[in-house]
Amino acid sequence: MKRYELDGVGKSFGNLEVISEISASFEPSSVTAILGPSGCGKTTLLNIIAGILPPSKGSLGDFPSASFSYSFQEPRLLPWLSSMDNLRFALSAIQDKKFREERAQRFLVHSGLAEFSATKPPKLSGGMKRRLSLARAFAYPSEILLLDEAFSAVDLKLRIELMDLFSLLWREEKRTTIIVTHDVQDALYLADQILVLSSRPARLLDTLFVPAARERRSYGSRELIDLEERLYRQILA
Amino acid sequence: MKQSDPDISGQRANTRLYRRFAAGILGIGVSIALWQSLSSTIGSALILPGPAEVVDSLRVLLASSSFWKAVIGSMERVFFSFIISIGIGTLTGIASGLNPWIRDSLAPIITTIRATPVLALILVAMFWLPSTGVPIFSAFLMAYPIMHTSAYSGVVSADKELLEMASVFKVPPNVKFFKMRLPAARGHFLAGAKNALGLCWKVVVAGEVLSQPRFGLGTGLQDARLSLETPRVLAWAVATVFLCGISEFALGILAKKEGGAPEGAAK
Repeated sequence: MKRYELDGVGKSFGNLEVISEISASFEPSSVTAILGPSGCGKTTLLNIIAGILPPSKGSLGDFPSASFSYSFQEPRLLPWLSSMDNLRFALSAIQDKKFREERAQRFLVHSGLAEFSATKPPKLSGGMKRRLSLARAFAYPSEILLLDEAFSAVDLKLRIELMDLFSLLWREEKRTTIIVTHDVQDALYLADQILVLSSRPARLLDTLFVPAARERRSYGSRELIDLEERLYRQILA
Repeated sequence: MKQSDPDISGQRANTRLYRRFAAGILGIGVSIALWQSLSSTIGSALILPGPAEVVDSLRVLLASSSFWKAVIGSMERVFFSFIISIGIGTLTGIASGLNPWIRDSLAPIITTIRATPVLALILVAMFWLPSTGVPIFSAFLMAYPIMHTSAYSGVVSADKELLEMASVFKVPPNVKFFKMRLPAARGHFLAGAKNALGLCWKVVVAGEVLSQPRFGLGTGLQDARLSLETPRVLAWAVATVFLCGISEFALGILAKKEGGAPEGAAK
């Protein structure tokens, strides 16, 4: 398991600077949350890490040689394929068919969608689509897992269900994970490390380490009130 | 998950179907009434025969073996021209969608074919081909750009976000093509095929009028015109419209049986 690093990464679109120099390191098998206000360039940073966008400056360290799985802001499922076939599609680069089938089946079951394996996405509810998107990201045996606002734009109950599903799947295969979120509570509930970004152009304001073990945390826990206040202060400033 | 009551949605679908059917019947009735009144006003069967005379001519046509030979001859030509234009149009359309160099090199050819008047094509083809080949060649050239453009549009219309997702998961190009690009293109392809089929009928019959193969709807039309039998001309035209409608309907059924446009794909 490698330690990945960003060194002075920046991104501009023409004259518009979106990301100022950001340096950070990501411990193996840890969950890092990138927290910042909406529109500050969090998704751009995630896309740079994934290799979808090239950086304008700085170094991506070992990231370019890593394999990624990605749970996008929208589920991005193929509407004409069944749930199971959507997983198979994402795993189609894997040569070993038995291994591929086993993973697709296992993560479909873990995400609670076994009985919907033949159902196509247009017939699934919004929450089911999100779960399928998460299951797809976990089923793909990558070194790094990227989640872009995977828990946003849903009601609180569903959000906690999705985060619990994430924790369940993550415990099974502890991968280096980077989560983009604008929600302080989500970041505190899931992450080991939180990178706080400023508004555009995004700069790294702070790096926080969450001391409590993930298994013992609860959503909105008062144990982390000091960290929560610190994060809110930084975001509001 | 929100599900609608199947009984209620079934009843609504039936009501819609009855309404459409009734509106269609009403439209036909009004057209026939207008036709009859115009024919009565003109008072000459040579210029505009009434519906009853055309039906009589059609009845005579249906009873003759030469009519059925003409139907089979024209259907064969439509079938061949349609299949060839689908095959080549799809191939070049997909290739153009995947490779900008092929797209740019084919663009002037497609534009030229599209801009060429159908009659000019038929007349030139008459120098090169036997009478049975002229309608097939002309219909192919007219339908080919439609299929090419439909296949091209289908391939390039694939959702950029889905393509991005596939590249993150390193989905192999062949899987991406068959599982993502082709299903997304199916809606465009079916719409193009329906247009191409209608055009093939029109151009095949026009080609037969000029090239005069032994058996063909166009040959029948031209013979009737030369004999100044206007009711028979219209009877041949009615038969052509009916056959074109039937084949488009059959294509629709076939497309539905094959799954039609996938849910969520571009229509």
